Amino acid sequence: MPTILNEPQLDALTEMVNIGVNRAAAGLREMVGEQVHLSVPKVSLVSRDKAIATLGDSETANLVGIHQVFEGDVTGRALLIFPDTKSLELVRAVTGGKLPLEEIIELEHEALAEIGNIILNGCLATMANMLQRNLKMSLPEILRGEPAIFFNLAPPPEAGEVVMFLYINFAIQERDIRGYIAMLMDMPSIAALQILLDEFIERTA
Amino acid sequence: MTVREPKLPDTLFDVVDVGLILLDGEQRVAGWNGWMEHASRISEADARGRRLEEVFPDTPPRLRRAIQHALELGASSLVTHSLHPALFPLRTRAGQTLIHDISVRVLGSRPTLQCLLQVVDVTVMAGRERILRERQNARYDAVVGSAPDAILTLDAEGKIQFANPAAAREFGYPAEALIGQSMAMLLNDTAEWDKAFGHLLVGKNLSRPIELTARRNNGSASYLEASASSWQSEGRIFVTAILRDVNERRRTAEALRAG
Repeated sequence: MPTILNEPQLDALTEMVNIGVNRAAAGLREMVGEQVHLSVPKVSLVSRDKAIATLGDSETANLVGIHQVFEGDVTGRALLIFPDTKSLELVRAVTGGKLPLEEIIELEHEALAEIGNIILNGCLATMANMLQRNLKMSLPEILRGEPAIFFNLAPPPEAGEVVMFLYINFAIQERDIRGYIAMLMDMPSIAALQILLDEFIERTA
Repeated sequence: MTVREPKLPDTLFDVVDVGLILLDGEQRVAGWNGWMEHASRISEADARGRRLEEVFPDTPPRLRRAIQHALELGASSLVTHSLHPALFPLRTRAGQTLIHDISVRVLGSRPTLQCLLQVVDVTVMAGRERILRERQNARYDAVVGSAPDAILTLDAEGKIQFANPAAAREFGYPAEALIGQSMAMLLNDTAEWDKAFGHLLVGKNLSRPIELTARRNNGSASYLEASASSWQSEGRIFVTAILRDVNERRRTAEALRAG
């Protein structure tokens, strides 16, 4: 797919998202009482099919995702996605590693919803703030399954859909967990985002 | 300009079975429903106009941040008992600790943004989980905790997720130190185990126990006989292996051969 965002726009976006996940990391650090490092080394815009294929390439077929809808000048869905083998590790790391397996399995659902909520809010809220726009964000919801289900959520978008794909590294308690943040937006939203990014670049230049 | 609060019939606000706290842009209590009065033993009149951390001095930082994010950025947040055992000091009608989750959302539009906290009672659910867990733990302790054989549960990546006391003794590590480690760390030769593990992950159980040579923390070798089976939870595969220490048996067999 042709690059829809130009390089300065992508750079600005990468910077914003990193500031956002750093904020989320600070929030998590406060809760966990341990160092938490989050970074987003790469942002790319891909088609839905490419996104599904990328997720399908990773080692495990089953994924767990935390889903939130955002609405405003830019509207879409945001998903934080992990291989589901990593989700227990993540919850174990955040809860301090002291709980037995059964207890972690029970807590997993809610704990993941909240951890995902912190990370997605950090990202989206920082972007909205830096772009000087309001975004309303829904509450988190957990989804599990194969890569395709994350990108076929009803109702389907009205006008073509692009996935903004972010690789996220999560380092906590000596564990290294890799996941993805996907933001699904339709073409009008991407166009609106481009305008906002250009305004931002102009302001900061 | 007059600040208009969203119109909600008072009765509705007060009869719902969920705690509702409305905060104004300054994070002062502008609404406190009947449910909150009962659960907190703080009347609406006493709460109104005060900042939330004055009403509840132990409000966790995560909740404060969530409120700030709602008012400044429009973000909705979920703050759950799973990561915050004590959010507000609330009690049920019978005086028990009321376990709750809180959702935080923004209400209205600028410049009159308000923040609505919805406090949901999950005491029954959490209680049921606790009872089930205790029952399970009791069964577990009776069987797994006191088993003479080492028992390990691994996730699909081969990382140890559970180790019983006998496993800690066998390998010479504290049980906590085994969690998150890969099985390979404990074995001298992984080929046999890797093959068996591959079969288990695709749902094939081992037809007979396999022999493994373990490497203990102190570097010494130990002979083990492993039987294993796989099980699933929420579509995720785990493998539980029972590792029997056969050093004694080998020594006896060797002594017999030598004699």
